Amino acid sequence: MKTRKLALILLFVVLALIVTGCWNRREMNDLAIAIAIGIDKSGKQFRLSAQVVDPGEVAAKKGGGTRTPVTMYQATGNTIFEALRKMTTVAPRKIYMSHVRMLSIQEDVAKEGIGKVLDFMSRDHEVRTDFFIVIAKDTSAANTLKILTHLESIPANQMFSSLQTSEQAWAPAVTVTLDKLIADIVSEGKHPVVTGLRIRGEQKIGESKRNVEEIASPAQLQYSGLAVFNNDKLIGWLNEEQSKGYNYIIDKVKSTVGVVACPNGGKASIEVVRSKTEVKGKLMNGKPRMDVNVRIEANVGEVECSMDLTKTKTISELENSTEKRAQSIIKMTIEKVQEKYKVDIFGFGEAISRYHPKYWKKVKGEWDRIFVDLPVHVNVDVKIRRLGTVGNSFLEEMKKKE
Amino acid sequence: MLENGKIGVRQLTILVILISIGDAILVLPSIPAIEAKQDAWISVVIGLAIGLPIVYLLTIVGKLYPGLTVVEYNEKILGTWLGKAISLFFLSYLFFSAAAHLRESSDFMITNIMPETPIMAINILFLGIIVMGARLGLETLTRTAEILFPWFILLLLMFILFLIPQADIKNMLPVLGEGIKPVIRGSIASAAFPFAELVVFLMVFPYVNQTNRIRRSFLLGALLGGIVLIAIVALSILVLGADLVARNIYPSFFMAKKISIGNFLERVEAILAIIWFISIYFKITLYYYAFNLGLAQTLKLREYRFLTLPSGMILLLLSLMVAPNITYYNEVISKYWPNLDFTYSILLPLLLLGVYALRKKFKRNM
Amino acid sequence: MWAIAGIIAVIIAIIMFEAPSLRRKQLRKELWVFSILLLIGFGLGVAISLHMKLPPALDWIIVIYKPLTDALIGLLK
Repeated sequence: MKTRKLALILLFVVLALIVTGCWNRREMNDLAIAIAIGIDKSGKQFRLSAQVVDPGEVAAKKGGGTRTPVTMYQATGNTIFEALRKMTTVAPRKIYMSHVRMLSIQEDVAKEGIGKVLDFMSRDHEVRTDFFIVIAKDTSAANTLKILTHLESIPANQMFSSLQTSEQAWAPAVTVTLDKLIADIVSEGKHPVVTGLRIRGEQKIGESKRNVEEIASPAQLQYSGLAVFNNDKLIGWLNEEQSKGYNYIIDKVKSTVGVVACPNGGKASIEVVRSKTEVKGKLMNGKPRMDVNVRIEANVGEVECSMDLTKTKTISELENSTEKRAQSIIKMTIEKVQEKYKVDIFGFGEAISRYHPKYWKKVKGEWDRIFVDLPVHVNVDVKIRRLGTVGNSFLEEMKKKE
Repeated sequence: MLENGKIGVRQLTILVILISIGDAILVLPSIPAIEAKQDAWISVVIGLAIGLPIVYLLTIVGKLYPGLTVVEYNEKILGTWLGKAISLFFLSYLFFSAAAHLRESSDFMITNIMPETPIMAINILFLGIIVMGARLGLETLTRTAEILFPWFILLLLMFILFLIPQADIKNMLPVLGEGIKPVIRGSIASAAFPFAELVVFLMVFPYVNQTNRIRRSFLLGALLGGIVLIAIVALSILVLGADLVARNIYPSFFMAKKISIGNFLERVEAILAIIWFISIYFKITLYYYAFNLGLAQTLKLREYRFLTLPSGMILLLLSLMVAPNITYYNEVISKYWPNLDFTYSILLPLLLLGVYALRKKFKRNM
Repeated sequence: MWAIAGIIAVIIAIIMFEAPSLRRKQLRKELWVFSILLLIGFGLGVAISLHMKLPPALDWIIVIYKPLTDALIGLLK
């Protein structure tokens, strides 16, 4: 009995010495938590920038020491992974990627193909897919990570929330996560689209605390335009109106504002509160045709003209103008893309593949060529429901007094 | 004493559900998705359709000698020497299977959660509870399964429920867009891993206390396990899309990372890993237990418990030798292992039934 | 060097754990099987710790089942 107990104890001791978790333990103060990553080109190599949280500064209750809440480390390498590890030559700890919220890729890198950048992100176990990807326009990605922001002490959070809110409240911005981007790159019926980020104002000041010491920050991060990709290479940009059209087609508009002309001259702002788009592909005599049906529910948000909102006729006239406006924006976007960029970013190919798989199998190799001349029929149906809290604008009364 | 535990019919069903889900819940979705793309879930349905008859076949063989395990009646049907030889082959299959599964689950842990940990460390710890489970015997093992089962189901339901908001039916279209052949190619593995690998239960049947109800509960367990797998594969296609499911080695884990309820319930994938560990643990332990028990029975030993420690050591070492890297492992498992499964779950029962029938005829004619 | 010592330590621990009860119960055949298994374990352990080139254990599955798999896939292409 005694030897048995001894053997047991021995066994336990041996086993306990090999407690697995210890191998991979990373204490909190061993982590450099990166919340934003930027990728630029540097000659033939990649320059990786990581915006890392300075926990002492962020948590400080006294608020606002002389240090910035985040710091940035940079490294250059032949591949992303190599650059990331090289960063340890300047950073005191190994970069921890699980909390990244934004990935900013410089335009020039995107022009050569973002696929090379994304493989590391998809393969590494620390990198999750819940961060947004944007293209840094007219500036380097590193610069976009250096701007300090007012409302959020951590700039990456501001970029994240801004993109999310912007997508929901003002359509020409699109949130792109890693898995959706990869799916779009790989898909034969859709090419990806990524939002562009630029810096408005003075870069130099933006990098210092002076940016948040004045009421109007001298430098701000602004989302502007959508980048059009051919598979994984950036080939061009959509302007604001075209971006809106794009968002309508892929049914990502949650709420936005459109300015339409009043029946008697002048402008009115129509607030879209609900929008649903259905894209259907039809085959007519073996040739494809797309139908885009948009259903919009809207309110009158702002009136700058003279019209009588108490009459239903005015409302239906407004609805008509809105429909025409939306339709023209969408059609214009499709035509512009067909003419200039010649890649199917709207997913028309995917729509065809879903319901006409046999036809799709035949043509999917040359879909982009077919896309250029693809007839698209756009139909918009707008229903204006409410006018806000007032009926007729007081401007009407004002006019009467004159 | 070799094994004098007894398990009830409901416990059998629970055990079958856990074993058929086994490791398939983690690695199965990507295998049919590579061939059938968005129709991977149909592959699993066909797999279930192929698997149920196999399971039925197993119950027929089990009924021939209700009080004996397969290695015992191997000798009765095929004669002492041929029977022993086939039993040894069968046992080696069980052993290699346990080693491969051990390697697979440790690889999963290392890839996703603890990349710098050497595989030996995880293997040894996991092996500890496997050996313990095997030594404690069938009855204890099954009771443990019974206890863990409600938690397993709870977490599984949570997993599925929390992901439904992210499901997009468009990811499943076009249905059968590439035709039926890729779907059938994918169904080979889908039939093998969850259902053909239930052949281990030929070692368990004698210890179920209500022999006449074995068939029903066994089939029920396989059916329920199959339904869970169909749901998981379908869900992964709906949430991730065919490309990501095929590309990821552990699609369910990737899916679990995406759970986000109200911006508040996020990053819970480590908790859901508990599901997979429960099901994999029971699969490996049952296989390992069956090996030890079978070895003792084949060699006419009077005990099996003492075998567990040395064979545990060999299991540990074998799991390292099974494959040099994960590419080799994935290729062998997805292409060749199903045939091995079918050899023992279809060929062996048919052989036994055939010889048994022939012998009966001879006896009658004599 | 240390690995082999470790393996021997584990084997001794296993023997100390199981052998006495076997010997007490006079289970001779069992002791034989026990020792054979331990021997196999020892051999494998030494081979692995000395980093000898061993073929991957699943190779034999490929050898046996390759023709069947190829036929099956060919049938279903």
